[in-house]
Amino acid sequence: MPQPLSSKDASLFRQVVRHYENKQHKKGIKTAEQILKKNPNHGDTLAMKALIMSNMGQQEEAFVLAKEALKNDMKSHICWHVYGLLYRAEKNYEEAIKAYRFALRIEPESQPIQRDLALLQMQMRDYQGYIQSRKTMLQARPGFRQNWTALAIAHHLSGDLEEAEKVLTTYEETLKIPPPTSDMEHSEAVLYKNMIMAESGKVDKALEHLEQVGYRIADVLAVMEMKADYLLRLGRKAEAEAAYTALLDRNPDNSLYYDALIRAKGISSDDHTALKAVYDTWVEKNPRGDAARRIPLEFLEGDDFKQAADAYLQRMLKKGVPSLFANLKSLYTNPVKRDTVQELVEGYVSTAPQSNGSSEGTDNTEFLSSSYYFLAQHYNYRLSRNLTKAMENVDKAIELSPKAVEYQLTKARVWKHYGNMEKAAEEMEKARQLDEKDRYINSKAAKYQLRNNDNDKGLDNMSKFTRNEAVGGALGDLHDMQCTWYLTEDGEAYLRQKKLGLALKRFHAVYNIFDTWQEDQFDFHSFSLRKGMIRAYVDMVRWEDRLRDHPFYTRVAVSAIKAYLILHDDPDLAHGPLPNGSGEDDSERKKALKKAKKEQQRLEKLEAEKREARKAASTKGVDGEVKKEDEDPLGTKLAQTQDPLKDATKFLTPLLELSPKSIEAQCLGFEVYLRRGKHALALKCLSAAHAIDASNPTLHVQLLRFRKALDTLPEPLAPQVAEVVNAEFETLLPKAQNLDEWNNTFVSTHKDSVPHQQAGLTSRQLLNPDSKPQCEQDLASTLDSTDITIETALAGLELLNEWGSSQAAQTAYAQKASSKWPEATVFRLE
Amino acid sequence: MSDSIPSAHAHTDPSPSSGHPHPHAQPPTNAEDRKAAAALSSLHTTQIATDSRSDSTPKPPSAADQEALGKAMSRLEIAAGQKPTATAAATVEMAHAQAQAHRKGDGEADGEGGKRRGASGAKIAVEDVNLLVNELDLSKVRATELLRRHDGDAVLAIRAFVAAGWG
Repeated sequence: MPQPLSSKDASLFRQVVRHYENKQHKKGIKTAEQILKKNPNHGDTLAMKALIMSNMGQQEEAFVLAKEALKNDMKSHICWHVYGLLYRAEKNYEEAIKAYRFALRIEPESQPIQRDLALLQMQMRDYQGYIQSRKTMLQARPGFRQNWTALAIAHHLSGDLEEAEKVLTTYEETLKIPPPTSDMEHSEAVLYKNMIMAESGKVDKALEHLEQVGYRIADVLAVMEMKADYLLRLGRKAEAEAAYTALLDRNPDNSLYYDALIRAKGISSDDHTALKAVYDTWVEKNPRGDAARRIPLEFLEGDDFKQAADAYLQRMLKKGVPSLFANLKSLYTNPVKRDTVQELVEGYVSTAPQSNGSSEGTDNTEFLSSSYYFLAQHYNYRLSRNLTKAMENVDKAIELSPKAVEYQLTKARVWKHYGNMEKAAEEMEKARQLDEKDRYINSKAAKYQLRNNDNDKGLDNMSKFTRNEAVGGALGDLHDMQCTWYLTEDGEAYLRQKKLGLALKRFHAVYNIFDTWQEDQFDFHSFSLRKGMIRAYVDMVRWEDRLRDHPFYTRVAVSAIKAYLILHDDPDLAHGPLPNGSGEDDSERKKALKKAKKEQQRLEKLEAEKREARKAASTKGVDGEVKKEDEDPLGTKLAQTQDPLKDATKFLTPLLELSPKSIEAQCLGFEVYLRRGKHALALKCLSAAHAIDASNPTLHVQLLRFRKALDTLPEPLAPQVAEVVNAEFETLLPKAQNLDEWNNTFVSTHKDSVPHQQAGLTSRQLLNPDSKPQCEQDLASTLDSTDITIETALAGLELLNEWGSSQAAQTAYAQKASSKWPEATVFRLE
Repeated sequence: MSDSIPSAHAHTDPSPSSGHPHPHAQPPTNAEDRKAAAALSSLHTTQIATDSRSDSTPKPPSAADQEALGKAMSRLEIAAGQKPTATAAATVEMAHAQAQAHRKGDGEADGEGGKRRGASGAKIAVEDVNLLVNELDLSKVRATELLRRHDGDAVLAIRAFVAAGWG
């Protein structure tokens, strides 16, 4: 029950509410204080004041005040509503829902509280609660179509398709006259209903419905696509063929239409002649299109392929299409096609008359330089790599057109594959200077500088395209613009330099950006209904549910977990990078640590000074809105966490839940859970990894480590856990198994694969520490393998570090690698 | 998020009128949109142009519409097995809240009994819930659910959890 106010104060209270709505925060507070002078314990006023304070960014004070308000007036729905709103502002949705429920219990008729509750339930995917809320809202106002649609969405997303359809139909039946075709809400709702029908498997019904209503719907393309899809699924081939032909007439470059058209025509995938004929008719109809020319290269074989590829290549090279190689490289998984393409293009450059003697010199130069450029990319590509030839060709291409950005860019890429990051960054910088206004090459140059661990230069390049007056300068703007690729690369560069604080800082920034993306959907729960764009909304909700299976998240989570594992294994790294090999001598290590701490303090001081300078320079923010200064710009606090493994779990959980098929994720999960002593969970990761690839080298070593961990438990597992773990692990690596034999079998089965050999050696020196010197030698001999790549060799070097091998063994390995790859910078010893 | 808060408080205003929900708080579209839509539709079909809908205020459902909607509502309520009053819905809401509170109590497994019965009548021990929370990184609610699905048998529950895939 609201506490009574005098009529004068009651009108003041209404003013407070009005001020709040108009965002006149200061006035609102003043008026509220006026009321409180006379009624110091007035709950509603206290609550309103708290709400205004929260909007002014004083979160903590607001909470204290709101609690006081509640103490004074437990029965006021306003107090409870405000309490919920404060929790919502803090993103503590569960508590917010509870508070809203209390408010509703006191004031069941309140529309706004009911609506706020419903939006939160949707955000939390509490579908049963959402259905209830939506039913209540519909009962209060059945006249609004969006209330019906919303209830249908609630049923649909909760999996009750039948009920969803029924709700929509029930509303449609109340319409006496069909709404005008301009009524987008109606048009979208009808298509939405059709989509639900198809989703519930009633394709024939959906088709029938679509044929009745489709002609009045605004989204013509969607209707055409849905109809074509239904026809094909129902096996009405002739009509499906016509439908897809109509779609191709609209857009002859959509490859999905071609696939469907061919299925509708019932052409077998072996009948290359017939297939080619179909595509040829579309080439004729659309001479400028690409899809109909490119797709046949997928299925054609032998001479047919050669002929088609020849025509395609010549046409594109003459035009000088820069994306030609990127468009063709997917064919290279077939070695015959790869070699045919190489032969063809090599043929063009050797038979083409040299440009200087020819009369049509200009035309020919373009063709020739495009061909050299193509060959450079060809020999630079993983499946057809020959870096010497790549370099020759790119140099020829650059000679012919020295101003071409992409040629210079490819040169940098070749250097990257040589393993020489320094040179690669340098060459990429040259490419950038060819066109300083081009943002793409600017980003590329910055990225290569980061790959070369040169964070400052990278940021300097980026700053040429950022809003540098933003809070935090260029880096602040990159955060505001949610530039995830840059933050990830920057963090990984710091991770390579073992500057864990800064690395974690960037990884958390990306994590927070994903949080923001999840949060962003909130507005759409009401907005999309208001606009009637339901199908797009449902798509978005489903996408949000799987947001963190995005490769950007996976990559950043993997790196962050690695950083936390390093931190857990060597907590001293929280103070900054330590020189390699300082682990051997205790006093030397102490010295190094002291030095690192000093360096850290120096950097912090520097950063604090910079901050002061910024504050002095700009007394007020540019856009009036004061942004909080970062308290921990170097990530020192992140690195000095009490519990790195717990922090790692924050990144790990979504990774495991949304990318369960990534073996890398499972292996990292094992590392985290084993260190945390969660043996059941560690085993769960092992089983999952085993199901993905039983012969994975990392898994092999982890199985052994798990067996050893179980044999040497510091304290016994809980009996229930022990029972499960022992029984389940028995299927992966039986207790009775002779481990040496098991390891030897593994090594001999995979004797041609270097990563497997590395895993076998790691296991051997785990089983038998005396064999370490021999293992070190054997590891060095894996460098003689013809298949070994720079990355694998580098992993070998890291293994030596992991084994705790002597500096001498590491140096010997690095020297051998360095003589194998003289260009690579990674094996150079400082 | 700023859009929902201000309008919320238009209604928490405890002035005498606050008992009644505001009729125009949530128009399906704003007045301008409706005008535009009306204008557009008059281009398409002449018969609707003269309709009262060209009025710029949010559509007040006509008597016929109202009747049809009423029928539709009652049909929906029968389907859902619910009493057709707003207060009934509120009680449902309350019941839901109580259920929620009940579930919460369940999760916390209050001290008095220490044991609760699962769906199948099996006992779920607090120690088992705590074991699962600790060993499997689960919330209390999820740990309790998992145990309930396995008749309160911790070994079966852990085994099922380990064997099931992530996600």
